[in-house]
This record gives sequence, C-alpha cells and structure tokens, in this order.
Amino acid sequence: MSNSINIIKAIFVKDLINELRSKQTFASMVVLSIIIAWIFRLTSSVIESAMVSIAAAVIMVSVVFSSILCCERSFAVEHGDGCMDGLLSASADRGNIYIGKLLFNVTMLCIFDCVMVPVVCVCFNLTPAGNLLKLIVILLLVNIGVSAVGTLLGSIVMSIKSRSSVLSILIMALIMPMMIPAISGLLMVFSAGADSGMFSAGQSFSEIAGMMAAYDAIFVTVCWLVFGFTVG
Amino acid sequence: MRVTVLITSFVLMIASGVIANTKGAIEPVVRNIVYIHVPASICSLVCFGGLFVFSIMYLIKKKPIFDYLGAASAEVAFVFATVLNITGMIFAKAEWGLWWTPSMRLITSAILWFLAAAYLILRSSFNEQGNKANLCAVFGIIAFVDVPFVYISARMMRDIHRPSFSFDSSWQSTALGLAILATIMLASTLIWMRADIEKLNEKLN
Repeated sequence: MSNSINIIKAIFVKDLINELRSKQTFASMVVLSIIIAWIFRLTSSVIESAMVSIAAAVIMVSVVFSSILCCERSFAVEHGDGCMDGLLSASADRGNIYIGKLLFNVTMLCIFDCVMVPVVCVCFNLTPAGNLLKLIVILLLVNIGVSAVGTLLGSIVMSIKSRSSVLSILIMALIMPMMIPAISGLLMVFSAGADSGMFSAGQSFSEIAGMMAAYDAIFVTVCWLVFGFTVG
Repeated sequence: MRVTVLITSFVLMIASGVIANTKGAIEPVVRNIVYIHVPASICSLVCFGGLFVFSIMYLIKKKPIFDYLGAASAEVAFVFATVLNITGMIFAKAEWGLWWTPSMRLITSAILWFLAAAYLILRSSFNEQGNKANLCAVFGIIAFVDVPFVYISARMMRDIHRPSFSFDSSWQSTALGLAILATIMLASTLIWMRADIEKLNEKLN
C-alpha cells in the first residue's frame, strides 16, 4: 500500500515539477479559456437575456478544451525519449501510473478553474458569491470526471500521429453524460435556482451532484482497471 | 447459412411491411415510421452490447476474431444509429415541426451515434497495427459504460418524445415484432460478414 502511494506521489510530483519548469500547458490552457470567454462575450452582446446560460456554456467549453490540452500533454512528454518505457520498466503498477497522472490532471484543472472562473464572472457580470460552495463542488466533480476519461484516452492516442484531433473527438463523445448535469448545476448556481429553460424542473442540487459523483466513481474505476491494456 | 439468415430476414421484413400496410396501419400516416425507427434503435443498442462483449473477450483471450467482431459491431451500430437519428428527425419535423431539439431520447440517440463514430475514427487513425486491437477494445468498453449514463443524465432534460407506444390492434404489435426480429437477424449477418472481410484485410496486409 505504502509502495503504491510512493509511486503515485513520485509520478504526480515529477509531472508537477515538469510543468512548473516549463509552464507550457498551463499558459496554453489559460490563454485559450480567455479567448473563448472573450469570443462568447462579443457574440452574446446581442442576446443579453441569455447571459447566464452562455456563461455556463463558456465554463464547460473552457474546461473541456483545456482538459484536452492537459491530458494530451501529460502523455506526450512520456512518449518522447522513451520515458514511458522507463516508467513501465521501473516495475510500477499500471494502475498507479494512471492514478498519478489522473491526480496531476485534476490538480492542473483545479488551478486552471481558479483563474478561468473569475475571468468568466467578470466578462459576463456574474456574482456566484452566495453559491460559491456549490460552484466549487460542481467544478471539482467535472474536473475529476473529465480527467478520468481524458487520462485514459491520452494514453490510447499516444501512438497516433493526429492525436490532438482524435483525442478531442473521443473526449467530447464520452463526457456528454457529465456535461448535462454540470450545465444544469452551473445554471442553478448562477441563476440562484431559477427555472432553466430546456432542463426539467424540480431537480435538486444533491441529485445533480450525486449523478456527477456516480459518473466519476464508475469512470475512475473502469479506466483504472483497463489502463494496463493501453500501455502494453 | 448466412444467405439463409439474410433471406429469412428479408422475408420477415416484407411480411412486416405487408401487415403494417394492410391491417396494422397507424394514423396519421407519418407514425408508421415506427416500424423502422424502433427496430433501428433496439438494433443499435444490441450492437453496442456486442461491441462491449467482444472487446472484453478480446482483452481476456487475445484472439483476433474478437477484435474483428468488435469492429464489425461498431460499424453496424453506426449504421443503425444513423437510421435511428434520420427516421427520428423526419418524424420530429412532421409531428412537432422541428428537426431536432435538446430532449431526453433525442440526446441519447445522438450520443449513441457520436460514440460509434468516435470508435470508427479511432480505429482508422492507427498507422501501424501495434497495440491497435487492445486500444480499440478499451475504448469499446468505456463507450458501452457511457451509454447508461447518457440515458440517466438525459432524463434531466424536458422530454418532447412520446413516453411509450400504444397500439390499437395486435396486428400492429405483430408487424413491429417481425420488423425487430428481421432487423436483428440482418444486423447479426452484417456483423458476421464484416468480421470476415476484416479478417481477409488483415491477411492481405
């Protein structure tokens, strides 16, 4: 058990130090999200009434695109110079490699959220202060779910030349069930529980969070189980 | 054997069509699309189930035939999911006046199509064989695990779709039953044939 924790910690710290030195992935994630928020704000100036819905969409789009950058990069660095072979030959359990990478991706997305959400709130003139805890819960659950799927898919597409485009398609197809409750929850946070159009009425926050937590738990478990087959 | 199954499925389809056109017709006429729409939806789900089972079998046994069968199931699932979405859109336009709207079952069927398309794109992206079969099998498993979540999460949306079908006569149920049986037989034969073609392709390469 302690050996597993040591391996997970070593992989997590290695990736974090790597990123702190280069800051390449994080910078791309932040700039991309600011550009997305900016474009959506410009185009939404004609439909002021739908501002809350658009802000929720901007947050989800930013998280998804940033997770694609993050998950792809976390395995791309291992692909060069035979680093992955080194990791595998170090007799580390495949599942531990997955958990280490997953923790790194979740941490990156959480740090990214701390920058991106205030930017979106400023752009769209939103004040989620009263529902801050609910917002944090939703974003954390989204980060775990997207990273769980993204980390596995990042290793699947490692040997493909056009991996960025394939990874985007695979991640977006798989995280749809997570997007629906996440957007519903974000609308609840930003519009203080007001009826939110296309979503059915009478949903509670615990129902939304429960659905997302179930998605996270099942996907983390399934991806952890099958990860070994993707790295050989 | 395959020819016999194929001919039987066509005969059953014709029988279903004849019954649907004579004694089992549904009013208004646009609702008769149910005889194509419902079998396509059941078949795409069955093919997804096939993809899941063959993917697990490949990872356990490592026999190439399970990889070919998985790939064939995904292709047939994609075809039936396309039929499901197109017939659904035609019905939606005639019945509700719009081609598509974010609604529970419409989202579910659209995501089924996305998942099948994503599997086929992944499969065609590998330049060399290497670990291809393993990686596709892993994606096949997580794509199937995604399906129940799609359905549960889509329940959060308002539903424009009819909750269930209520038939006026037993002829209509018989016609639908025959159509479902014929479509499943057709899908099984297509998977069988496609897996053989995949096997021959591998031999040629």
